Amino acid sequence: MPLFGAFREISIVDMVSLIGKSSGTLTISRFGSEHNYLIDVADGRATTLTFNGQAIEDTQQAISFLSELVRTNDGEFVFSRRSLAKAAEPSAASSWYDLDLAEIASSALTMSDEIAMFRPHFPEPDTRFVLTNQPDDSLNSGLGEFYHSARPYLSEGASANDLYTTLGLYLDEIQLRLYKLRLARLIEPKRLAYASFDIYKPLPAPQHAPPVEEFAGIKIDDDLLSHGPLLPIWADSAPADPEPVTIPEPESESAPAQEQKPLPVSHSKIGGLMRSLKNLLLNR
Amino acid sequence: MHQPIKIVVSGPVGAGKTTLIRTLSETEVISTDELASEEIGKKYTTVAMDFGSFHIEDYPIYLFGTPGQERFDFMWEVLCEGAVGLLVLVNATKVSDFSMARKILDYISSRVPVPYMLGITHLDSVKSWDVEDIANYFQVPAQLVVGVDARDPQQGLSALYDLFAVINSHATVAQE
Repeated sequence: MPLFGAFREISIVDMVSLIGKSSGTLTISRFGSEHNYLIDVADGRATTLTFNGQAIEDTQQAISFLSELVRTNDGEFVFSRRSLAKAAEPSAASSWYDLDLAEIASSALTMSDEIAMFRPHFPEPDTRFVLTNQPDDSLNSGLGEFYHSARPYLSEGASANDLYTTLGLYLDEIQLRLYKLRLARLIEPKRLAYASFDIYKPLPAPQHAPPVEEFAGIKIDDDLLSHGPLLPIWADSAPADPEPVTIPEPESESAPAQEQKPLPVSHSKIGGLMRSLKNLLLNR
Repeated sequence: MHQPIKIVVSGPVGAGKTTLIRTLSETEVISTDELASEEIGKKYTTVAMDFGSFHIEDYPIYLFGTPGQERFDFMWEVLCEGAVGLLVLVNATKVSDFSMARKILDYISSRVPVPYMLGITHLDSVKSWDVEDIANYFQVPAQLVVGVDARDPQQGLSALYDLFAVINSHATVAQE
């Protein structure tokens, strides 16, 4: 008998736990849409993912699809276990990746919890950060991957909003990553006044973005679902022939340096002001 | 008479922004205080800006105070337009407000090239952080952190003097 249910009754994390180390085929259908996911599972790990018949062979894209499923926790599932004899045989489908479903579900949930916990301390979405120190090996894989993806932009100075439209991650996820990188002293706010007065150069135009701005805090309800399925934007935008998720590189040729904008005051004026202020302080 | 020098005073709710402007201003302070719609520890709060002015000999100084609440954050950048310096006030005893103060400083300093300084208020309290620890939390050099009693004009002017000194030595200014 296959394992089946709706995520409103059995959460996706419970489902992953029930699958455990089993092998089989997991089918997930989103409510209010014709969208179906077919996931080949071997020993509790996703090896292939097919969306409406299209193969999602890119690992990061598959992780995004799976994380999105955890985030929305919407739809129904059927898990058909393969028999022990069949499980021992090599799968008919080739293995595109080896993704631990429990780890992905756990990471997505942990991120939700961390976002809820640290949100009050997040930087403003438009605060720009720059790189400071080089990371050592202590960065966990998620944060490390984010660091390497964001590094080209952070080297110039980038905000969470910039990275949101460029890297295709959730805004609050990016704020959390930036918050953590700052705690690790790998980035710091780009202090314009004392470094230079260069005018901010915007990043390239948005390539793709998640379907909603925030990873955590969204509540699925009927109103939301009535507006259509919640899917990663690359699934919505290119259902027939999905483009692999690529991170655009910043323009190789840097724009000509803009003229430094000085403060609307001269040294002699500030000097005179300081002398006057000193006199005032001494004579009080 | 010289052209006016614009200084912006920012910081979280209750840091002493309005107090400092009232302390230094020679003119009646223009405030946009409204009844606080949520519990913020005081009855009235600034919703748009405070404005006060005074002279240092023939130098007119304009002081603009920003709202402390995050929902008025759109005013932070607006008010810093054309400013010569920014003084971010932080209450050393209200550790719960440090995160907000850092958010304000980071936002403004990364978007507007205005020289800034942290003014730490309530340092006379028994229970307050050391200046070095505050500088470390804000990730700013310790020379950009100065203690100030917002009720004391001498200390307010002294903080401005420190800010001008930093501007003179570190900032790019207009040619003569």
